[in-house]
Amino acid sequence: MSSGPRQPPHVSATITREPDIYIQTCIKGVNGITLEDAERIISGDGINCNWWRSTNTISPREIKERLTEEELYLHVNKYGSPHPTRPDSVASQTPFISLTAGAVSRHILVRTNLIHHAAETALQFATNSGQYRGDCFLFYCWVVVGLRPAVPVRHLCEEVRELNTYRRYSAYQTEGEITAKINIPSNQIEAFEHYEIVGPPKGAFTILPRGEPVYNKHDYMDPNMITNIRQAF
Amino acid sequence: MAGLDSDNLLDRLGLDQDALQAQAHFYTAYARMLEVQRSAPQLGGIWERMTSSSEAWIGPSSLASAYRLAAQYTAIFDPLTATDLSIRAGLLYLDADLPFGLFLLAGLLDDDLLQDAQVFPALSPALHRVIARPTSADPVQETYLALAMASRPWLQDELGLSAQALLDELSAHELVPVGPQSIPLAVYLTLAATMLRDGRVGDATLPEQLAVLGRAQSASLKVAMRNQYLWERGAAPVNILDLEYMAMSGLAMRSGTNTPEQIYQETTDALRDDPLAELPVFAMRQIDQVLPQVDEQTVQLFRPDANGLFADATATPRENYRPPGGSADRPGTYPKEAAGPKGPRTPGAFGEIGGGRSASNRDRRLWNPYDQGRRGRNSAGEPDGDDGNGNGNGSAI
Repeated sequence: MSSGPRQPPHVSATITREPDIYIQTCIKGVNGITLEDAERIISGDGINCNWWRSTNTISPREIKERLTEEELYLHVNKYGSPHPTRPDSVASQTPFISLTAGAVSRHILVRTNLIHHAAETALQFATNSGQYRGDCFLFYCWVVVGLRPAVPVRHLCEEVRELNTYRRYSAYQTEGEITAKINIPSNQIEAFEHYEIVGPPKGAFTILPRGEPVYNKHDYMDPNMITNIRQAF
Repeated sequence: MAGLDSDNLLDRLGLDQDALQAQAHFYTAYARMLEVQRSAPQLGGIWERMTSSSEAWIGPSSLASAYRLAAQYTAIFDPLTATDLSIRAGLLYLDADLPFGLFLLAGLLDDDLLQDAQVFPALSPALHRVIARPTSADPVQETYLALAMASRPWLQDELGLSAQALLDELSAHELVPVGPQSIPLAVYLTLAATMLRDGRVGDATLPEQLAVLGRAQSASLKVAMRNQYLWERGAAPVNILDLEYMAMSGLAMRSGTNTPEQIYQETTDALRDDPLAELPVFAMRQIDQVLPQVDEQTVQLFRPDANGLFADATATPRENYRPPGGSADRPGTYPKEAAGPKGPRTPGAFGEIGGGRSASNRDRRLWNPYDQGRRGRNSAGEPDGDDGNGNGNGSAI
């Protein structure tokens, strides 16, 4: 590192033309819960990380200690493994929540011929990659995403695809996993869809939509209300 | 690891069979759900969400992608069902106005199927529609078109295009990344030029060029294998089999005076040190061997609806295709018999699959554009000839 005089901040600072954070709509696929559970999620409970759900009580200090790049690496790459420092598995102890976001352009499709719509990825989570039978749910929500890694910042979500070894298509950076932290409040969850996976335990199955989407009429906040758009009046 | 063998492919790759089949069934079920919703849009359904925005192309593209992924997973353990799913993917890419659909179909299907009296005449109007669309003018999509025509030169007359002229134009874009491994377009163009000349371009033969693609795919697979949890479950963010490279192998197998077996042998010979790189040509050979078993139900997929789209909301993808000794839960092994070099296929070579009522599961009537005067077109520009229903003078649709 140079020991010369430091540049004044206004000279050395990178000029950023893009905003550093943005609001991203996402989908969360969930199974193993009932329709009543799903209704509780959009009526106040929100979606909580497995760590919170399994230990019941977490503190701000613990949250600070656990929102690290190492924990995020475990969440992305070692989800099914035992946690190296905690009892039980990474899956049950993770302070992160995997979401999927859909954003792919026609240009990308023309170049790659392969897109993964967010609903597809969410349903894959919800069906445990085709191995689950029964009710499952897709929750439609919005989160605030940082364009740069900000793992310790609880309220910013991470675009974790960048951390993967996978570089096959740049498209995945925009259509892949978004990782939330600790909790997604119900006022950021717009609605859920109910599906039933019908079929024998192994073999072909059918994905049956059950009814129309159930909207959050309790406390949903439209993200347009909190962005920096000033309407003329 | 020695060369790939169908008997122990999953073990050799370190893949969990149940998880892999579940992935295949997931993408099939997801595609079916979308297709049902496409035929009867449901308020608030996923299809409605996909197509209600200004970017309506997302719907058909997602559907095509889902069938493609289903085919890729299924091809690992059930090549005949994978063929059905691949055809659906190819047709739906055409619905999405992407020449990539023709590339897939021309690569995966042999001339017996592609030139079937029920197939090409039904496909032709869609191809003409697609090549007139703006998306077809993208260099990458034009490359797929050029590759298909290079493998099957008769397509040039059908489409009114010259593969060589396209290749000449595309040379300006040689550095554009293309395909699953973001390989420079020049690699694809060289492969197309080699097929057109039925030989070698520079120092590289077709098998040697396929080996280069196989090695690129193999490198990605090896990286993906590091995450053992995702890899074993077939959930690694990589295509274990990539339909694009399989189709590329198929195009080479069917081009010029080449035979599938010759291309397969020479490609695998060039990859003795990296069997993982054999996967595309290995899987393509498996599909090539089961093509005679493709039956009428699958051929009916080529019949477009009133809107010219290849809708199929009623028929379910074949689930009864199983190799000998297989069942819905436990597929058997791949057929071991190799197809003879460009010779007639052996009737009943695959035991009880599909009944084995003839050399083919269908009584194929070839549509031969060269036997029908003016390249098989009538004065209205429509294909002449048998429509597959015994009507010898009409269009198939």
